[in-house]
Amino acid sequence: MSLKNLSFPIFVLLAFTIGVFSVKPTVESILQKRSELESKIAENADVMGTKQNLDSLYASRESLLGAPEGAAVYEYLPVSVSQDRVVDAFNYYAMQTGISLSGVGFVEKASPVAISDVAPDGSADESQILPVAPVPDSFTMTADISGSYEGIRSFLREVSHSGRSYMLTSFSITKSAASTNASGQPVSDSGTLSGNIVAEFFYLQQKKYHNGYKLPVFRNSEFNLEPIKEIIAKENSVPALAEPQGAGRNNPFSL
Amino acid sequence: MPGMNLAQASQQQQKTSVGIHVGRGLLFLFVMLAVVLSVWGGLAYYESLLSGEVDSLSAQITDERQGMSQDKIDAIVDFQFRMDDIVAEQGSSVDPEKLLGSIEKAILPGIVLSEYSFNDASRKVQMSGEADSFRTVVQEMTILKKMPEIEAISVPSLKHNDKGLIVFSFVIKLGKSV
Repeated sequence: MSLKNLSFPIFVLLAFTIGVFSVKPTVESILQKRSELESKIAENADVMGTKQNLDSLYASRESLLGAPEGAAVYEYLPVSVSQDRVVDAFNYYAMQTGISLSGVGFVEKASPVAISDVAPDGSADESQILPVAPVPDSFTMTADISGSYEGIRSFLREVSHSGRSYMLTSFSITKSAASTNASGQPVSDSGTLSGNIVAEFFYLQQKKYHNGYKLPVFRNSEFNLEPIKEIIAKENSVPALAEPQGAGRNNPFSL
Repeated sequence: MPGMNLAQASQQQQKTSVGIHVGRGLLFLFVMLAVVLSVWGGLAYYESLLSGEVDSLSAQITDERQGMSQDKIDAIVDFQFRMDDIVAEQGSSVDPEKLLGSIEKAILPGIVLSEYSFNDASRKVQMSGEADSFRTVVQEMTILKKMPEIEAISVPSLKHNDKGLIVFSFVIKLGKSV
């Protein structure tokens, strides 16, 4: 068989080889690169939007700190322990409600380590890890109180509307034992009650947030303050003492 | 013409025709090969252009990100997380006024409480006091059982005291709605 007769099959083989081993991978690579390019264009637009929103949000935050909403955020969940503020508030409520406050104690509680606090170990793609909301730290306050039922009730109401993030762990109201006179006879019930309140108060220290710019907050140029406004409105509207109806009475500790 | 071989001339003519035919065929094949190689080259060039664009955009994105102030990011994320925490915490704590208000509404005239305590971990209220009769205690339990915020009620202790009154103790399990 002459070379002339072999030229056509050789050409076909050559064209097939080029097609399979060179053109096809190149086309596949082009498709992949185009997809990558589209994703990079979207990412770039996202980054540019984030950058614009970052400036806008920061300016918004700065101005909010001087407004009731922003100030309430840092008062409700302060950066530091601020036990002095709690004692001051409790003392103020005690004076307002006519009860006496004694035996105040504090116990610090360490918060569990959040995922965002764990140092990256390089086992995962760190650029893909989003920061998660940290668990607030807290301290438990125990306070012994004494006074009238109405006073203790009002005190508890004030504490629950104190404008600070807290959790009422427990409380108790106990009727004081009837005192006796010099001859050993019980004197009339003075109506004084003693109580104990245990509450956990939260605070959140400022932290560093790796990849924080990827969070949804940066997709908007303003903070959504509606929930905070609702909370402030709720805190400011302390309901009046409910009058008992029917079988009930104001003070279940006395007839 | 005498002695002339006519068949030889015919063979030469045939050879020339085949040579032209083969030459054109090869030329066509080479042209086609060149076209295929050109297409491949064009694609490879386009691929390199795309790679350049992707690299350029990646570098731009990295620059933009590095240009963002980490302090500003931290401040904004902190503010947002703080608000999220506050909103999530809302309503998680029991309202003591609501608890006491419920008891005030339910207390019967013949009953005087001596102790009332609430524990969030167990979601239980413990109440003890004195009643003028067993009947009053039962009536009080019936009223408490009907309250929607109460899941269960038990009586760990019930006895007469030296004054002739009934000393009782209730343990109330609160429902999730409280």
